[in-house]
Amino acid sequence: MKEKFKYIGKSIRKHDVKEKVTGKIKYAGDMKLGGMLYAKMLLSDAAHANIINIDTSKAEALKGVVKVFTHRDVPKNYYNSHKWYKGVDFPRDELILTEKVRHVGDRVAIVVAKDMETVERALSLIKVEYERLPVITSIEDAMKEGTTYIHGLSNKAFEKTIKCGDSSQILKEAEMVFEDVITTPKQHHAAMETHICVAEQDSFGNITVWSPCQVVFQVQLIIAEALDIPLDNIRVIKTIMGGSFGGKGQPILEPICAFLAMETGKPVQLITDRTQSIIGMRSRNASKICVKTAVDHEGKILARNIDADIDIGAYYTNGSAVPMAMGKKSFRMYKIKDQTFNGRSYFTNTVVGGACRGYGSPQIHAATEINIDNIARGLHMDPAELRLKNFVKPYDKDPTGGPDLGNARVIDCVERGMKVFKWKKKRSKAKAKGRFVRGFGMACAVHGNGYHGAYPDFITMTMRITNDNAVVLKSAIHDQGCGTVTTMKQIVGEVLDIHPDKVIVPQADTAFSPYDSAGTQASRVTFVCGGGAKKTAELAREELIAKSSVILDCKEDNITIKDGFIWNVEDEENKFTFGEMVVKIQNELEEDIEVTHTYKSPANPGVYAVNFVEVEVDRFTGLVKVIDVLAVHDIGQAINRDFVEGQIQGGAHMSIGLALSEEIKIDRMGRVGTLNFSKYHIINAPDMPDVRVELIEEGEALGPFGAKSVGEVCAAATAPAIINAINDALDINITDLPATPERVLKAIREKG
Amino acid sequence: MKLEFIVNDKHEIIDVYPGERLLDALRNKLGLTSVKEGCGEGECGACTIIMDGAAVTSCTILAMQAKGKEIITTEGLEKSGELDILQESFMKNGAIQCGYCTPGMLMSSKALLIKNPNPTKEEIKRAIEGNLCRCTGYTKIINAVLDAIER
Amino acid sequence: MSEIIIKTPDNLEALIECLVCANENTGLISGGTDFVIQLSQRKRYRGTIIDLSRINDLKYVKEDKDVIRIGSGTTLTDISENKLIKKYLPSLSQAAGQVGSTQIRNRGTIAGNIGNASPCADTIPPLMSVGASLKIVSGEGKIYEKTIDEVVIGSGRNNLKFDEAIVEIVFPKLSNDYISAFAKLGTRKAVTISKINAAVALKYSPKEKLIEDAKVYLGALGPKSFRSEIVEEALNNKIPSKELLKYFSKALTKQVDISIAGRSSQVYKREAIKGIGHDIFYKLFGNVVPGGDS
Repeated sequence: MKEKFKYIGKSIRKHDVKEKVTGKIKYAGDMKLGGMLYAKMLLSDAAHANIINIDTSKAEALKGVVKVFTHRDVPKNYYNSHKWYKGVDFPRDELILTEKVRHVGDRVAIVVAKDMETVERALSLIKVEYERLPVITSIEDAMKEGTTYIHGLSNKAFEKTIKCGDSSQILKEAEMVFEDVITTPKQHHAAMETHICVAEQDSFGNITVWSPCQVVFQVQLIIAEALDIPLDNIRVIKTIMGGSFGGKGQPILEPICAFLAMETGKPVQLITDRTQSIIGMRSRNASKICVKTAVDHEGKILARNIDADIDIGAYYTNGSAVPMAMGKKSFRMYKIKDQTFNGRSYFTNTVVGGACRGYGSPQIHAATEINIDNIARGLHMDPAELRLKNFVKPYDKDPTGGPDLGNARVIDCVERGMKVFKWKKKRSKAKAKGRFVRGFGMACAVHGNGYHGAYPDFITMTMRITNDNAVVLKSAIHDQGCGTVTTMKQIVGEVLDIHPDKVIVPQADTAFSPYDSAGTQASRVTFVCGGGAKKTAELAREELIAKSSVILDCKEDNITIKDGFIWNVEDEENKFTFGEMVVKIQNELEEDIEVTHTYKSPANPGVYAVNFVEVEVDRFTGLVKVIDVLAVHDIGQAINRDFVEGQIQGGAHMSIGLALSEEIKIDRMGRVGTLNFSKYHIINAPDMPDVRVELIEEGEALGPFGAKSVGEVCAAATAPAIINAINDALDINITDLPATPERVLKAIREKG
Repeated sequence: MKLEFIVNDKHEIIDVYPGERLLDALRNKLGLTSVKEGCGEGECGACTIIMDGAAVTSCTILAMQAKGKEIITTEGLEKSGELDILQESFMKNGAIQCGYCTPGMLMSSKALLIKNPNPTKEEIKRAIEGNLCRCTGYTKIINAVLDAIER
Repeated sequence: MSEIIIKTPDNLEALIECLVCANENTGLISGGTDFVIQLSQRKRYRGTIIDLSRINDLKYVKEDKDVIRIGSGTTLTDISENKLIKKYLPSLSQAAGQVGSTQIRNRGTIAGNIGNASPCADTIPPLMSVGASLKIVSGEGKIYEKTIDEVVIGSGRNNLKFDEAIVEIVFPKLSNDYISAFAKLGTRKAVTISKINAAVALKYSPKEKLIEDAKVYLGALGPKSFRSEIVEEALNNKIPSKELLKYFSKALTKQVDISIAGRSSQVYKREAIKGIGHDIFYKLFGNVVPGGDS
């Protein structure tokens, strides 16, 4: 059988693995510019306080210190680092350095010096006097009447209801209603590269910023707003990314570093250590979600009510977007005619929230998928069967008027997974009586493909075929390590029938990249940017054919393109490489092969992940070992199988952490207990199971070659599947994540 | 203070200050930027190097403690233009995503293979237990090491 | 730039010379796995550091007629893999193999683990269970022995004067009918700080099937590892059986209730120590009492 694609779906190596495997590749932290200064921030150790005095004299007296900055020295332009384009606005409550600290980790001062050793010593010599204020560390505290307000006159930052039909009436009258309150923790992104940035000002006053970022145009915008300087005086270059997972999505260091470069007139490298990356950057928002579901005896969901309270931490950032994202997901997995989602965000004196792989999906699916399993238990039904009775079907509409679901294949995922995992057989096994008990669980998740239907979602791309036989795709893409560059190469290679090695894909640089409306966010890169690459390549192909037909003096229909060669089908003897043909076009026609296209995302279908897991619970210690994970994904079509597996295995890693061990612990005083990896435990190799991957590739008509997203949905279903498996093992009802050994033993104890 | 040692088969003499970490000396004085800092407390393994045949975290060692030692970093794996079999295998098996943990993973795996050319999967996991990776879930890294053994 | 002076003696005489000049600002390091972290976190800035890691004469495991001698600079990896230690004190081998990560064990030394005197230090309970002693050298050139119990104060403090250094760990070779085991419980399987750890050494001959002379030491339940006579009593003069395992576990729980009464961690630890009890019991008696894997 002839294969459908030549390059699509193949496991081609990432473009930069050789540079990475030899250790030669340079991250922002490896950059050294002539005369470069080093900088680091002093972060607050008080959770809520007014700064009465900062004594920087000893630090400034230290040899090698260039300057120490405090709130007195920085511009007072409030900004919101979540804003990613002109035309949208969110409450602006952030400054470069603050006079009132609102969480442990808030920005108090910055030292700039000639070397890092001096920076560190100077930081230790700064004395800060605080006037302490009452501290709010939980949603419950934040809600209280007459409590301390972190900003303005309420700790409630945002509230919104999304609904279809009338759930309240049905819930009131229903015979069977299952209610669960699920909590999820603040999670650290834990990219191995901590946050870092380099900036330099040139003699014209223009600022260049090098940053491992996700959206160069957002970085440019935030710097402009924070420093009140013209956007076009700022150039942002995306550097090699040492991991982000959303953590480096919002510009945090960039405006600060740009400011330092302007103030000192020297290149500055602004560095954070792990502790600062945990407490001073962003986190996954904590949540407390109450789910009430009415069902009939057959397991058909009649109505559902979801109340989600989100702890967004000390600053607003995306405090409205996360609950909205959670809400929207609630309507795109199960067909529920009557459903209400209430989302509320609260300020607390804790680590600031932001984008984090999944963007609300891990929290909302933890809640709803644990609740679904509890319904199944209550009805003595198989939880997979119960789900199958309620899933959306391909091409269903979103009941709230959101974008159509497209070729939604969640049912296929569950059916395939049940078979491969041998679900029924495993679930029906009698539970062991001894110390170690096995349990089996499953859970599902849905995510999107970009911003279509909500925010502008387009990318402009330029493609040129060079006279040296390369295809250059210029656009503002940001490879986060997932393989974006190679993904684009494969798409372009497929369209032009040229080996992906011949395709050059430079990454985002605001000076040279055409505009992109949203960057690496919202699971849009493969679907939207990949769609753009495909369309742009098609246009380039048309242009190449048209001009070649002039050169070869034949009809366009006679032009053949194959394996990087182009020729007149009637003249097989004279085949040309693209480069040779471009030379002819340039010399004989005084023309070129270059196209520019602005691609608007045509849709925003759902992508689905279904995870089946087996756990072993130690009834004595409460430790849980994940034995097996089977991840079945509806992804339309894999562009690169190896990358897809890599995403799913990495997403599972993050989700297992959320289920079992990861939590930024904050005490009643607002102090952070998990300041480094010795206390903040991400899953290490001995605790990580092999993650088996099954792909449903039924094609999404509006995606490039049928592809949909995978990078975020893969981080959402494993955690609830694990919790469901633990609850299955012991017939307990854990609803607080992570299921620490203490919580597992408590649940066993309470069951008696 | 003068520090004399062998790094990637080369005799090196550099100036270090007494409290300087080996990590910083290798990066700043010898430009060996494959040695990464991820936590500064020996928990993430990004700064792992091989010292006298054993994998160690260079953020928990003073530069002066490396006096007279033989050190290998990822820059030293390539021999006369040929990549080490582990490097080839990491590339082939999709073991690399963001790449920040990669040099440390290579060092821990290499040290394991020096000591034990035929490790089991469990032994590989133990060798990299101190190397954290957020991107891959370790599966492809472990497969890469297993593949290198077979070759 | 930094006000730290590092001395790197490469033999015992040179070490003593360094110790002669020691004062209250002098610190000893070997692997440096803990010290260098403190240094980079700006917790220490001044003083003289004597680095023992270059003294190759302190890296050994030796067998004498009645005792095993371990050089203070022996790494935890070497201890965990050493045949003599596996033979004479498996509990120590097991403990050393579970400290930190591979990289840390390759560098961290036994004297460092003891000297840091952390409440959850893993090598201390096994050493205490056999009454190990430490050979200490002073700036005056004197060498004397103290028991490990005397030297470790706990909560991160030790009894060594600033001009003293541990040079050797000595423990008696127990006769063939003694067996030992170690187990720990952390928040995960590997690379974890002990929430509880325990070492047991006891006399047991398969012929008589009777447990005698049990020594049980528990860690992370107080400022330092301590002996639990309650648990020892539960074991002594008993025959290994499933019933004994239950009895042993109950005694462990009782000990937790006494040791950390009222602490928030008591609720969890009193139950979870059952896991440690089982691990140790089956390491000791897995060949005579089946059922260790369930």
